[in-house]
Amino acid sequence: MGVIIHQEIKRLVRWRGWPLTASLGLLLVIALVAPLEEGIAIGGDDSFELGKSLLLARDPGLADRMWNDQPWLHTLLTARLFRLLGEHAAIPRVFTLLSTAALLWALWWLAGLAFHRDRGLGALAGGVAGVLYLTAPESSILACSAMIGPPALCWAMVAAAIGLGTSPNRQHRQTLLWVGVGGILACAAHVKLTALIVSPALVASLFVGRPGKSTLTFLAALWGGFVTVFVVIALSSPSFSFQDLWGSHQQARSEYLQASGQENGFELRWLFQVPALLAAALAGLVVSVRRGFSVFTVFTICLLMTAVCIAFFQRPYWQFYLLQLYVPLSLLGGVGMVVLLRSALKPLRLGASQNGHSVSGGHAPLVGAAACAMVALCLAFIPPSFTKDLRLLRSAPLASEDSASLVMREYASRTQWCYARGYNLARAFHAGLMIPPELAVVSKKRFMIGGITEKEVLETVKQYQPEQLLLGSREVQDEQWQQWVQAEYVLVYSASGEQLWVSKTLNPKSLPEKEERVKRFGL
Amino acid sequence: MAVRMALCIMVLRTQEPHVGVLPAVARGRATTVESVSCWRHSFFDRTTTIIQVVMYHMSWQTIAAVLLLSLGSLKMVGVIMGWVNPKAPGFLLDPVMLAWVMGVLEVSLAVLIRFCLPRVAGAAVLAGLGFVFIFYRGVEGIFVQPGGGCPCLGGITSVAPWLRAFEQPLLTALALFLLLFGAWAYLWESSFIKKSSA
Repeated sequence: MGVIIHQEIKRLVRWRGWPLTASLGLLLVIALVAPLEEGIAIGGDDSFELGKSLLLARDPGLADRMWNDQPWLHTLLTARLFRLLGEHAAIPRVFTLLSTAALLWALWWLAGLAFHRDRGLGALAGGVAGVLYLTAPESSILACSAMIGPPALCWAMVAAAIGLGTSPNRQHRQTLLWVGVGGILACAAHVKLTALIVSPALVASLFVGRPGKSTLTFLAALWGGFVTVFVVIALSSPSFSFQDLWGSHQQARSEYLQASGQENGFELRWLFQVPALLAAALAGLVVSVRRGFSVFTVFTICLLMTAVCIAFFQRPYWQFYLLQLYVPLSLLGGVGMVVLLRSALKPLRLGASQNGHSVSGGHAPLVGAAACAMVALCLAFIPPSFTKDLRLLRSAPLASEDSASLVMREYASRTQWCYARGYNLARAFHAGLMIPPELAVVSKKRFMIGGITEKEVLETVKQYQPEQLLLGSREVQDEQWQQWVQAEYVLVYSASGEQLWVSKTLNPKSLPEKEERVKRFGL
Repeated sequence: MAVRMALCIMVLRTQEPHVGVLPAVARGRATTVESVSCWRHSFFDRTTTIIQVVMYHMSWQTIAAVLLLSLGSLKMVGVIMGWVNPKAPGFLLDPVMLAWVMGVLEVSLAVLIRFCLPRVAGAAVLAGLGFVFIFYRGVEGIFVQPGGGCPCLGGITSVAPWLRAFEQPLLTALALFLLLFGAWAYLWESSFIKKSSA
């Protein structure tokens, strides 16, 4: 009995899933810290998705009136879940967390491809890659947001891992597998088109280590699966237009380039925040290239090159696009760190056992220095930036403590429409209020490409006559807005340059004058 | 050819004892294959540059000495160029004086570790220096008032402001590197001593 227990413990200790479990554990810590339900907005564009999904959950027909420059799949899924489980902000955020968990599995699986002979090391490299990804700046925050970029990238990576990491025995089964991979990639692209950045790397690695005939068969299967699923989802979406999904982004790019030159572009200083990841990735790159052109090497290098090209040519390039760089860097970093540490520790073991032979080759001190530098960089840079992100997550403003949201909830039962923009969209969501569908996405880009003007925004709001208006500093300072709201609305809340106006038809209590407030405090 | 040969001998004279021909033979540690391989790379094989050979056979002492020399020189250059703020508040010592003392100390340690101390002792000194540096980083608040700064990088942040955002983690990384590399070198050198005595 004792022997069996001992063997079981030994097997458990040697289990290759530990590194993956560790990275998933870290993700769990992030999930527990984040206010998934009550956090007003987590990440930059979190509020757009919440607002759009709420509209579709209440009335799917509103999709026709909505301006939307992103695919519908994520919004439709979230809206369906809202109808099934209730309108909780946690639903899309948990979906992103689950997608991130799937990405961690994909990293773990793909890193294993770099170590054919030693699967244990491959698993360790995968776990390290997952930890490096999660601890990169803002990565943990984006893993908890309702944004569409992170899950799209995650599922595209899952498709790549399934395609490259599994090899069924029979040819026809493998063909079917690649059809499935194409399908998953199409789903990811329907969450956000940025998922397609994985496709060049996926196609390139198909050409490695396979006979030409089967490569072409798998490529056709991948393409067939992708096109079929993509078309089916496009046909079942409320709208599908390449102009909105692709053309508008290209137009915005040229407008940005004309208007602001090199502004809103990729900034190298962002990479200075992750020297440990860069150092580890550099080591991984050297190791991978020296090992020859394996599937892992071709895939990660192609993915890295694609992400770098996007970084240099995409305008505007927002900081959360860095996730696209973090994924290949983490993969290379995991491999680099494990190989470098093993190479640095090996001479210490062999030195004592091998009769003073040049344990090192001569490069042992250099390898030792590189490994120590990498560990030092990791210990010095990662914990502060990761804890800073966790603190930011934990201290995200809560809807239950937000004065504006609480006042909005007071009038929510008698409100059909509400006007809010940007971050305030999320406040409207937490108060259970719908935004006019034409104004559900009023982004900087939409103005840039001439999709809407400030005047049209005001006209649309006048058409809907929303019962509540949560005005930002721009509208507060605008005379046209002020003339109109003062005639038909009552100011019920004002703070930090923001004002909440409620329609006079709801008989709201007006915000007391300054003198009255002072009197109330007995001053 | 003569220059190449001279460089080659120089490299061999300054490298690890168990790799090069001359010192290795003297200490009886190198294998023939290893020595020949080194000679082939550095002298006969023209595809390998002498810099590659130097890098390949660089001893841990050289690496540590180069780092310490750079840090020490940076402090002294910082004082000479006026990068170190002499009016920085809160130091027990005058910041300029502190930079001088630390600069001279680091350069001296570089020379000691590279040329004077026995290998194991040098590794221990390096690890000790790292430990002291980490300890200093931990208790820095006692010596330096908030905003007082530390002349650890020779006030280079005044000429490279972009570095300011990364100064603290960079200094922690430096301290950790000295400790880890010193510990690694100590273990490595100790493994040879154990084997020799056995």
